[in-house]
Amino acid sequence: MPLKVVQIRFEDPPVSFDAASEILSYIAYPIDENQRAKFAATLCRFSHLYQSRKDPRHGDMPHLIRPKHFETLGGIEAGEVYRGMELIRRRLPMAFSMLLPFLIARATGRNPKKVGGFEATVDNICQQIIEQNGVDASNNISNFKTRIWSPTRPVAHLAFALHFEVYNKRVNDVNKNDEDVLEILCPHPTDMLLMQVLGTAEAVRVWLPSLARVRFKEEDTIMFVPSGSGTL
Amino acid sequence: VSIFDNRPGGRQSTAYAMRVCEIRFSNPEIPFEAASLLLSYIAYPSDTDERTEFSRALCRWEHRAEALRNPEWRSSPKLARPVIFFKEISAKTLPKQIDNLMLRIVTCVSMLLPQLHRVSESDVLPFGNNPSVSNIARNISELSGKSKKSGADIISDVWAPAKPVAHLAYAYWDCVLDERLENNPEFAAKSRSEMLTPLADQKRLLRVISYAELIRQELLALPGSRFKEGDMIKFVASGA
Repeated sequence: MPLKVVQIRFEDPPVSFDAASEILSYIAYPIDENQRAKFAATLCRFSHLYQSRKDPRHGDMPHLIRPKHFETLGGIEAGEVYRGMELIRRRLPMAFSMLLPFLIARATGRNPKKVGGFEATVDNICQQIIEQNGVDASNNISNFKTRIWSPTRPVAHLAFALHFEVYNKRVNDVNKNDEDVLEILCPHPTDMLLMQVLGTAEAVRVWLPSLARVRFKEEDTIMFVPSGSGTL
Repeated sequence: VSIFDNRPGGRQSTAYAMRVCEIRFSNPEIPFEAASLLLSYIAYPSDTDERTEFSRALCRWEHRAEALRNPEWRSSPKLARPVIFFKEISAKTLPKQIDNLMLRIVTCVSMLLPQLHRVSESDVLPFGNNPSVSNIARNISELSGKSKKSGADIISDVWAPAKPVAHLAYAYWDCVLDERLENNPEFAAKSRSEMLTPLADQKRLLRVISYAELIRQELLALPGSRFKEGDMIKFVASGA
């Protein structure tokens, strides 16, 4: 049994930025439900504002919204959005780097490819991410695993899938530095693409327990299921 | 929403100028939008920027009020213009604006009632004295409690700016708020912002607009009327 089963609602016609904000919020805050819901709502409102800056007609046009994301009377806290997006910026490539060698090995039946000339282990991959990205200069592997990898684990499959299906392609398409996570993820992927992301995430999730070196148990992972009229 | 001046022959004379304001009803309906717009005309008949801000704030405030009334409503998709959610709403300013709006509605009703019902000094007087503007204003001042506005303040700050939309305020009271007062004994004890919500639905708003136009014509036709065509905004519904 998974840790929990989360239904991501897709509507027909689509609710602007709704499913994308939910999915991204689970990557930023997989466990803390209050913080996650707050971030999802703020990100959804922010996405409308962000899109309006690109296209001033956006804000004045009617869009479908889910009122629960809009019931605060406060302004849009950009700081909260940037904090969450920074977590996402770290977690997407990390989950991808961490899982990819083992998933390929699982699919091909071969041993995982070496990472930076070393055997593919969680520690070695962490070391490589630290060196490549300078995630935090003072970090050692132990800190990195505790502070960054562990909180990502329940949604590592989702982060992997989002990176694989969207982020990686957009980074290459627009040749953007991956610091510009907002630019890459806004506008958010379409609902169709997000459903594909959830499909990939679930395919990865069911394999996780069989990847011996990353030591996943199914009960540590969150299962994401598309639901709603948009899935019919 | 379009606002245009209907000047006969395109002349610049303002003698017969009539301002016509269109309240556009979206199809499919955008919840609370038309009601917020209509009420914002009562609150700010002449200042477009303030009216727009207030209309957006009111619409957003009603979204929240509806979510609190109806938890299922908050989770199902609804149409809205995102711009209404961009700006922070002050928890102090908006209730105060709503207070002012309600005071304006009550003032308009009190001022128009004697005229529309042809109440004269010799009739039974609703306020216990001659229904002159100053007497009515003084009565409102005494009843308005916390606002501490004098009768003269009521005339200059509340009644005078409201005259172009007094017929709309009267119609909103008669078609929406008066019924709540009759049907709910606790209505009078509510705060003014609580009295205003829920905002009128589309069907009722159409009645308000039609009724407002009847009142406008009646006021213009009154013998010795102080209202002139060019002073009163004509409201029309479109898209419904």
